[in-house]
Order: sequence, then structure tokens, then C-alpha cells
Amino acid sequence: VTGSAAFGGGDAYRPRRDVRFRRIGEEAVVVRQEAPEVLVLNPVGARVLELLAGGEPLDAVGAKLAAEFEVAPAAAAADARAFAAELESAGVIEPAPEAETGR
Amino acid sequence: VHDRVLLTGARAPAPFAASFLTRPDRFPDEPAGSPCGDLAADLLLPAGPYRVRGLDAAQLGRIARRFGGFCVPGDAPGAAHRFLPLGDGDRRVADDVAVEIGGHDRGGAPSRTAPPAGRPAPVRPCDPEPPVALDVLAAPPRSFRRSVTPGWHYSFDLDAGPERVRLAGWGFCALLERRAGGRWRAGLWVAPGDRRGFLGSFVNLLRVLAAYRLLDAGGALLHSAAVADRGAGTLFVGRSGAGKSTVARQALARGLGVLSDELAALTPAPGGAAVSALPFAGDLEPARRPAPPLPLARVLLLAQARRDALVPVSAAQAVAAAAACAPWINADRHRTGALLDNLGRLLGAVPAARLEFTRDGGFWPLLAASGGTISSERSGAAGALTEAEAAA
Repeated sequence: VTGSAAFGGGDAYRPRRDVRFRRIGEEAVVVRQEAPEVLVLNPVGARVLELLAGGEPLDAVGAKLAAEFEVAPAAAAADARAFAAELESAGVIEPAPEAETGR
Repeated sequence: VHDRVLLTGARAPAPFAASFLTRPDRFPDEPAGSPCGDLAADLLLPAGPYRVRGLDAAQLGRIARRFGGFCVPGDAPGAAHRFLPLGDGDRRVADDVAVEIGGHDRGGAPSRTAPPAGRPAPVRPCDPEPPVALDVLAAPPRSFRRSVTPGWHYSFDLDAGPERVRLAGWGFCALLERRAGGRWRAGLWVAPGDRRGFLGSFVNLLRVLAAYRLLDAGGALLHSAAVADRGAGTLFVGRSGAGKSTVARQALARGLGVLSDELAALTPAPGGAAVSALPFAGDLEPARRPAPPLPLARVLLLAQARRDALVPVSAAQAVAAAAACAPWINADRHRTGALLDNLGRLLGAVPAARLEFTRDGGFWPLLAASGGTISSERSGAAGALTEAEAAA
């Protein structure tokens, strides 16, 4: 199993249109206007959102988390996948169209 | 996700203004409007002044009574502007610079309040456009639908675009346009003779204007009680029903100064942030006069509980709670990012905590013991803002 497959392939996500977020310290504040609600993400969640919003596919997010937080690649991959799922279910991100990701 | 706060603030319903205007699709091209009168006033709000033009005598009187020392009527010494440009030609000039008509003496001497009859009024540039300029215009009464639900006079629709914001409510509609440098120009259309509804419409618009102007000045309008002590301010941030008025009343009873029990202005200041009173209030009387901003010493997020406790929170949690209590802006997708930027700058370095509190006031010693600026007990007359603090 490749890392890419473990992370769900090259899946890419983007913030939903009603979402605005900013890093505040190590955390992130996310405003969801359609909900309407404000969320606070912990440092790992903040970094996952930041990377996804920057166009990084999920497998690359996992790899960067492993390097930045000094954790095992498999654990980082699982964290990235779990956070992405949580952010998606919370209405923060959505799958990015392939045209946006260049795939 | 380890914290979640519900937003407060108006959301744009669809379609805009259908409940309030007979031709909502035509606004702002219609209704046509002409100034209600030729009187003016400056409102000394934070990040102002707000220059209000086109008032008739009754409107000016109501504004002056409602806003007390925040209002400098056009006929008072020191007023910066006396006349609304009345003609179309004048209005075109006024798009770029404010103009005066008649013999206004920049030295402050009394001058006429209307051009001499039968003689063209000289038009000349005066002050640069103020941070906020608001023209009050008379619209045909048929422009507005009649209110069918008494008590709903404070509800309104808001439609925000990148450069302009539309409002409509019972008996009024308004257009806010953003100009260069974060200045705002606004028009308020009302039915002439709607004496009772005018002030409510005006205050509604002014609250929204304050939110947008403060944002462009690097600050924010926040639902919060603001308490002053020893030359510094503490913000108690919370949505409607969170206990802001309760805190404000208890602060007054303890001899502390209260800047606000409902809405406070947060602005940038050297080394951090400052908090200012606004003439808007919840259950208490609104502030009656402007006062210098106070340095912000601490932010407390109100949370009613069965026990009193002070729980430190991160800067992000403070920003999230504040964003949830930033009316209108937090629902404006064009400006939410700027709101978060401002709040991050202003609150990032200020101590913040969640104040879990009972309504019996047992939390005040906690605040004193935690090293904030609020003293544990103090004698002295209660007041909206002590004289010493007002003069600070």
C-alpha cells in the first residue's frame, strides 16, 4: 500500500464558499456563515486546513504533518485523514473539483 | 475542532426588502429623495466623526436629545459643517469634497443656516469628506410598506456587497457606500412626517454604520459589556441573554465605571487595543457623552454557570467568541476575513478567559484576585463613567 493510497489517494479538498478562516497563534478560527457558527481548530487541525486550502492533496498533507510534528508517517496519515473527515462533516471543507487540483 | 460558538447578527434574507419596500427591486435607484431639511450635526462616535446632513428641525432635535453629548448640532459652536448641498450640481461636487453653502465662518463664528433668498449660494470646498457622511432624504410615503406587526420596528434586512451595503426596514431604506480610505457615505430615505419612526430608523442605520466604519478603522463593534476601572477597560463579551446587562449593573453597584452594557467599540491603540463607549445600550441608559478610549486590559467570555470560575482561554478562542459577537460583519462574506484579521491583532496580546458566573455577583472577587485591573471593592458614586476616567 502506498502512502497515497493510505491517505485516500490524491484526494484534494477546499474550504467551502461560506468559510473564512485565519490562523491565530497555533490554532485557527473558522467562520461558517451558513451554519452560522465559529469553530476553533487545534494546531494540527489548523495546519491540515491551511494545507488543504493551499491546494495540497491529502497525501501530501499527511507527509507534511509527519515532518512538522515529528510523528510516524502512518500516524500522521491517519491524523490527516481523520481531520479531513471531521472538517468535511463539520461543513468546513468539500472535495475540490479535479480542475482545481490539476488532476 | 475543539470549540464551537454560534454566530450572532443579521443574515440577509431573500429577497431583500420585500417586506419593507413597495419596489424593492428598484432600490437604490428609487425612491428618489431630497434632503429633509438643511440642518446638520456631527456625531462624535469612535473612528468618526459621523456627519449627518439634510435634517429638518424635528429630526435634529430628536437626534440631539437621543445622543446627548455625542451630538454637535450644526448651529453649535465648533460644528464642522452646516449645510447639505441641495442642488444636483452641488451633489456632484459633494461626491468628492464636502461643500458649504452660504456664509459659514471657518473661525467658528455663527453664520446663516440657509442661503439668502433670491441669491445663488456660493459653493466652496471646506473640510475633506469626514470618515462617515450620512444624508437624510425624504422619500414618498408610498415607497414603504406599512408595518403590520407592532413591535417589529427594530427588524430590518441587510444586503452586503463588496463596496456597498443596503438596508431596509419599516419606514426606511438606506445605502452605505465605501469610499477610498475606509470612509463611508450613506443615504437614509425616510417618509417625511414619520416623526415616531425616524429615530428608530436612524439608530438602526447608525449601529450598522458603526460596525462597518470600525472594521475599516482596524477595529470591531462587539456585543459586550465594557467596564472601566483604574484607567483600563475590561470587555465582557457575550451574545444576547449572556448576562452583559447583569454584569454592567453589578459593576455600577460596585462603583465601577460602565462604558456599555450592549455594544462597545474596539479600536487599535499604541501597544494593543482600546475600548470606547458608544451611545447604544441594552437595559441601561446609553452613554450620554463621548470619552477617551481606555486601553483594553482583559477580555472575558461570558458563560452562565452554577459556580463562579475564571478559565483561561487561548487567543483563538477569544477571537472566535468575539467574532461570534460582531453583529452584521460576521455575516458579511466580503468582510469576515478582515474581521478575523482585526480581532487577531487586537485581542492576540490581551489576557483572555472564560468567566463562568452565577448571577449573584460572586465572581467579582475572582476578577480582583486574578490580577486584572478590576479592584475587589471600591466606594464612590456609581455612574456610567467616572469623571476621572472620562478625563483620563
